[in-house]
Amino acid sequence: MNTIFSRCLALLLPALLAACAGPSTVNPGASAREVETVMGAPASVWKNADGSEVWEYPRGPFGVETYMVTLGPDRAVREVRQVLSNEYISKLHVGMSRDEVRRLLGRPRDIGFSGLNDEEIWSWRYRESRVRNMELYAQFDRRTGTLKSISRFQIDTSDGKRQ
Amino acid sequence: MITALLRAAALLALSLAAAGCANFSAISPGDPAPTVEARVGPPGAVWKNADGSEVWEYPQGSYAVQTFMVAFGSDHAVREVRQVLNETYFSRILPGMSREDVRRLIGKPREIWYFPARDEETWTWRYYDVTYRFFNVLFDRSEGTVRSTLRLDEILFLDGRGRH
Repeated sequence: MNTIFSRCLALLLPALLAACAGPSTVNPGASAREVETVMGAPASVWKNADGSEVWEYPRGPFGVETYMVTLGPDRAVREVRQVLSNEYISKLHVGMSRDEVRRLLGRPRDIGFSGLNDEEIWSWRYRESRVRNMELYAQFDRRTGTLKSISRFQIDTSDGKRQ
Repeated sequence: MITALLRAAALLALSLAAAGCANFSAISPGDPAPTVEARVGPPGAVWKNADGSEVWEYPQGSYAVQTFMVAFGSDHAVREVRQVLNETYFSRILPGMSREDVRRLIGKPREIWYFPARDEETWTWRYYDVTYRFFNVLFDRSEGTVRSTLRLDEILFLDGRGRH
């Protein structure tokens, strides 16, 4: 009985570990196959002209991180970036296309529309300095498909009882 | 120079509009309806109760941070004037309430957004509480009932960009 249990555990454990394994275990030089083993299939793949690729791993809606794994033309990892941070968010600027924004920050947690239906709103949740829960909105003009405003907020987790 | 003057004038006009030139502190309990209208203009919406009492809603526009509710008795005299964009009223918004319950409590939102994937409708008000903040009510869009509320502090980018 015990052996069956431990055998099951032995079978399950690697799967559980893979699910938990973060990108911190993916290091530069790792192969594309190793990335897939550790992180699973990417949500999206961007191919560059020079043969390099960027693989996107959003951890939302429950996670607050999105990883971009860059593979060189040799299919080895060049770098791993967590893009839901001020470093990347501050690169947003008015006039960007949806594709440019997607490449910069990855898939939004949610997509909404304004009441007048002339705006498309992409939203992300992220964490600042590890503790502040933040919400980011990128508002696009639906007709032109360009970014028209960017705003970020700190969520008051005290529900108005902060004082 | 002229451009600078024009800009200053425009800013002044905007801040006056935002502050709400209408002076609600000039309304006192007992004032008749026509006096209220003369002082602060026609309401944005009127809510009539079964007992003949009424509430007049005065949202101060999307740049402003105040919404006033003037409550009249069945005798059409003012009972009270409330500025409703604050915690006293926000804390009364509870899961399950209808859109109309919310509207009657804190007035017209400055903005409504839809999120189809979550079947959610978000109503937003701007308010002031130590800093400028946003209060959001999240509705189940199909049911038309409140799911939750969210208070947000805007963190401006260094170049001052942001949603206002």
